[in-house]
Amino acid sequence: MNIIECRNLSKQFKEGRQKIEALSDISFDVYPGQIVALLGPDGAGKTTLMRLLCGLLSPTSGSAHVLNWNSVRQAGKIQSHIGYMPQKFGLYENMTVGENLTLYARLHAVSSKESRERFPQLLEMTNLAAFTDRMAGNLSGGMKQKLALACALVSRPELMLLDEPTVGVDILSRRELWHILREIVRSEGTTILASTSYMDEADFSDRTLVLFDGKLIADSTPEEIRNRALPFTSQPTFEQGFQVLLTGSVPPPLERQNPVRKEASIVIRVDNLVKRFGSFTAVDHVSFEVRQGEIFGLLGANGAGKTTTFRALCGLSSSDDGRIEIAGLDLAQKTKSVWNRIGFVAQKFSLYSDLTVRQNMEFFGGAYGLRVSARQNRIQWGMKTFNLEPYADREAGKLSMGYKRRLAMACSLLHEPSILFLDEATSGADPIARYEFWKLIMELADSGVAIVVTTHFLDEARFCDRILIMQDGVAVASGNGEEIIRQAGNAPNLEEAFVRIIQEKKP
Amino acid sequence: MGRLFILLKKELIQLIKNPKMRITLFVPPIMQLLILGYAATLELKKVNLGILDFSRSAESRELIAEFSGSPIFNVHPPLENQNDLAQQINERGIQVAIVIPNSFIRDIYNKTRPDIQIIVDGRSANSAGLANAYIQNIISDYAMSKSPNDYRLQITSRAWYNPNYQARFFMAPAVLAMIALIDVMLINALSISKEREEGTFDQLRLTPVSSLELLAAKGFSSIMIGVCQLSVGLLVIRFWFLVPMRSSFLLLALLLISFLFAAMGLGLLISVLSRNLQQAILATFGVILPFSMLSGLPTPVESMPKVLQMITIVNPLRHGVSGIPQCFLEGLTFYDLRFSFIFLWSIAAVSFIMAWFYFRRQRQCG
Amino acid sequence: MNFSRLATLIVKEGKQLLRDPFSIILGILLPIIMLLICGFGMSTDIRNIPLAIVIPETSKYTTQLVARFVASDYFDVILTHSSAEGERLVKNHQADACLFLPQKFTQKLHGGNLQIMIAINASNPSLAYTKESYIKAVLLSGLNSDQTELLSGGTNAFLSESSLAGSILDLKPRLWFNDANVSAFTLIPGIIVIIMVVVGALLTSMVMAREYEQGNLESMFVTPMRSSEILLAKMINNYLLGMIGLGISLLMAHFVFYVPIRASWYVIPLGSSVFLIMALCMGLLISSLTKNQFIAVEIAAFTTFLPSFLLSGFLFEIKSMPILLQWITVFVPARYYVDFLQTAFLVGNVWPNIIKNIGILLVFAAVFMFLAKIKNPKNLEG
Repeated sequence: MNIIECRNLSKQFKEGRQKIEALSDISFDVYPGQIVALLGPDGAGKTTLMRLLCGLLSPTSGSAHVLNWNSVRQAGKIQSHIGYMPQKFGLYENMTVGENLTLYARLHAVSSKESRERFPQLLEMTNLAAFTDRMAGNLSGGMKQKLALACALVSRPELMLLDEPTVGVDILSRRELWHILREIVRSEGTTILASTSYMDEADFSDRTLVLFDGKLIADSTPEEIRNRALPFTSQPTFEQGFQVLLTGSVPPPLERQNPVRKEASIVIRVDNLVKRFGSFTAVDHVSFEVRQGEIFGLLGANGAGKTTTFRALCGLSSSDDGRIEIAGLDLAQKTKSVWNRIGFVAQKFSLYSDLTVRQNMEFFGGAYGLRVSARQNRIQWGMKTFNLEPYADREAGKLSMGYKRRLAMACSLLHEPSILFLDEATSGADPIARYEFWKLIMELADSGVAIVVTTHFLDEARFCDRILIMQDGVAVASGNGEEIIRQAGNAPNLEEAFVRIIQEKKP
Repeated sequence: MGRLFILLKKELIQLIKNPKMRITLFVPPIMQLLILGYAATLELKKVNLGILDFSRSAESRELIAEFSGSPIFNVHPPLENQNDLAQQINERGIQVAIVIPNSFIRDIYNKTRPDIQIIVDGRSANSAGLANAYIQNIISDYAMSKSPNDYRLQITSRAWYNPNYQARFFMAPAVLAMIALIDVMLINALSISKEREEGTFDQLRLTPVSSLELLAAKGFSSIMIGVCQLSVGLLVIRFWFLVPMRSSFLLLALLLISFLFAAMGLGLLISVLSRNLQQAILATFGVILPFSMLSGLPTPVESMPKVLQMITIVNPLRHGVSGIPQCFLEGLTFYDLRFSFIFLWSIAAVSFIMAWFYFRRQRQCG
Repeated sequence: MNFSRLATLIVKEGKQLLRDPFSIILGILLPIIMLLICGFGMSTDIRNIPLAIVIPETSKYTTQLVARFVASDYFDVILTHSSAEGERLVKNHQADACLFLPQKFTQKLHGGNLQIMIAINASNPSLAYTKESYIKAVLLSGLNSDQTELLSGGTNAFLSESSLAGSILDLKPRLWFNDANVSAFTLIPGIIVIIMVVVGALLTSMVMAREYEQGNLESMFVTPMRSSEILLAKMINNYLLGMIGLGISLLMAHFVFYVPIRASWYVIPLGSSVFLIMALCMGLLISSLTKNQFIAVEIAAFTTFLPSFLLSGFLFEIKSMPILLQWITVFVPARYYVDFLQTAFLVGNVWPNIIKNIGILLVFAAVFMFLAKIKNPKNLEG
């Protein structure tokens, strides 16, 4: 028996008078006990496929059978027998972690005996055991994601559909999480279909489906995909294989044209920054400096205090102690004049979703006080640099994630800031989008802009000139990539170095 | 100024971009105005009247004929007895009954007012009071016509400004005020909470836009929507309901705009003080309900206790409900409306400044 | 329907309500505030009408007539001698009406040919009409005594307290069920309707639209949960909230404002439940049609709140409306609820009335429940 059977599945959406082909002619099968990774760039149709499979949407043509039930006629049956984790998981923010878990356990009719066994396991795996009584709304973004996953895992169904389950989740948790998933598959024969943007996760799946522009362009083992890059390199990685699949070649490695000079002036100086929430110290005496033209990476596990540090740096929240200097100005005193010098791209790209691309740019340009002619020039620049021209009159809310990211970047750069803050800007992005993104960032840094980023893609850390690793609000390591690797006892790569440093400091 | 313009443009686009939103902002209010202009009538028509006639005389039949001739009353077949009367009122067969006593003929020729008992279904206070007034008038007129000694008393009354007692002349402008209040307050109340919920608030905080500019842009855009709504509403009132326009249009416009500003200030204050969209909406209704009750629309302000009358000066709707119909019907001057202007602008200024104060504090502290 | 699942959801909804107690506060505070305003503040009875009286000459009779107006609670008299001044007073809103006594009042009174004119500001016509009838009544009873006195040759008879009281009593009809004509008696049922609509339709439409907006429903859909269970759980908490509001309103109405509750104790809660359930279904329907908080609230306000206020017959007599509108009110459920409440409060168990109204409300409830159910499929299409 096949767990999933898709036959010539197509889905069209109507947008005004236009019809948009979200999925066309998709056919595949999923067999029991497999972990299947669903890959593809933003807007390729991954979420639509997931929703079709759970019967939340009905196909325009073709059919899908899940657990031998028809996804349209027997949607109710499917919905009661599978586990599903949508991208925007319905956590109830004013309920505690424990209550959210209990709610989903009860809804899935998990007996209380089973719950008692499973809850500690899930909480342990997600590192949430200490936060059982915290309101879901007060968790950090990554912790919310973990909680959502725990909720989806609470009933062990035959099939689990996970839509980007690990977006914004740190590497340690991701490893633990996949460990658990594999454990479940092994012990209970569960089948998993998960969409993901982390290539390492796809790499250890049993099978990989790649969607591109609504079409299924690959249905093979990870190894086959890896081998596609063989003509270009002798030891191909999965990421390279994926790039070949989509673009036909492996892009050249990114290099800084204009590396930071030692004598470059310091534009951000953080001195013993402290931020407390009640009795909890989120940031504990953190100090660092960022120079002009430098790319500075702020890394750490979920809840380590990155976002808090970040918000304090931009002046979005006040600090309890210490001093932050931006471009030579004390942030506490001259907040307003500082704002003209910084650009900020938030995790969720705070754009006005009902305004078009051009209107968003007009608005932010205006908000930064650019005069009409200067504003038009900068908008022109933004449209060109970020390839936004074809979408100039589309509403921001209807853009794919990739274009939202571009628009958010364009908006934050209109006033030519000398410092750019990027908070997990590449979360959920595919390798190709990330490559383009980093190319741009490097060009910006080359032109002298200081850039502060946070990210969960540790391979991105190699693009940073310097890195600061935080754990429990404390800076535990800093330096350039090589220094970090050395500090971690000569780990094989940055990723391992990071994992070692974090695990070492873990209580 | 340029920045304010950009902010304003953005707010307006957001308000009218969504077609559902456009429809919601214009269609229901106008429909409401049309429906309520007709519904909100305090005239009575076809009031079911039962008559228990103990006199059974030529005179009593004459009096009954007076009632039958009036369009206000729908005279039911004569009642049998008190029990019949009671039952019919209970079951809402009749709403009013008059009991003509045995002594009717004697009374009529000896006094100007015969002792006629009027019984009204007290379940609806407004219509009960009015029905009573109508009955009183008919009986008085009849009694006067029967006065002895050729005694002729003639009372004429002139209803200034609204000679035919057209209820919709008052109601349509008053209801327009209520609709404008609800919409402008809601738009403002939701404006900041919406940015908070969508996460754009933080982005905005990092621009050099000042709190004042931001609030002003949000406020003005809602006022512009309000002005459009009101303009359509005024056209309906003037050319559909044919309400006469006796004051200068400028004065009316000024009054309406002052009213909108007061609504805007209160809406912004609610918006700044509420943590999410839901709170903003609930708080708005929590305010609009008492405002409507104490506006003078359901019951007259004059009938409220003095203390409450004083309190209602902070209710913009009270000024709207009294001022706007007056502006139409009575040729008013600015001087006549000076108190309304003073209070409306005070409400607007105080609430706006409070909103500004709290907003600035929130922006700084995050 | 699975009861343990349902119970889980209900507990969850209840917890959420308690965590964000704003809606509970509103559900409790709103009835209290509205009833206080209604009981202490609202009255259809007009008192202290500023009345200008123009007396061209002062005589015993004019003094006595004026004294009647002065003695009455209903008027605040402003005396003047010139008609121009009288008109000015009305124009300046210092007086609502002006009573013009003619030149040579006494002579005309004796001659049996008296013409009196009343000018009244009718920009609020219904108020004007009532005021006019008050003035006429005082005038008539006063002149009546004058005339009797003239005929009988007696003196000063009409200034006696008893006759004054009598003349004022004439103004009042006997209001059945509401002997004291306390306006609160008739207004409170209307207030309860509004509370029920706000908690039922408005609050519910908003809560549900919020779940759509925040995407909470997507994960909820892919559980064994049926959509009817999701809807029911939403309803039950708001139902309880509405019933608490009703309880507060009834207790306050009865013990603070002494409004009689003449029907049996179970009648009002029973009918109110039916109405509330209907309002809840309307709220659910609106939210699933709009899926946006602002639009849901606007629609709820304009389709449920305002009609309940204005088309239910609580403020304005339905029979006096144009025929077309009377037809529209047939589809305003609040109309039946108002009728039901007024009867249950002030009259008692009039079974034909109770059965008819509850029956109609049940039909409405069933229709909206059905629509809410089919408009809330467990999918994201549309």
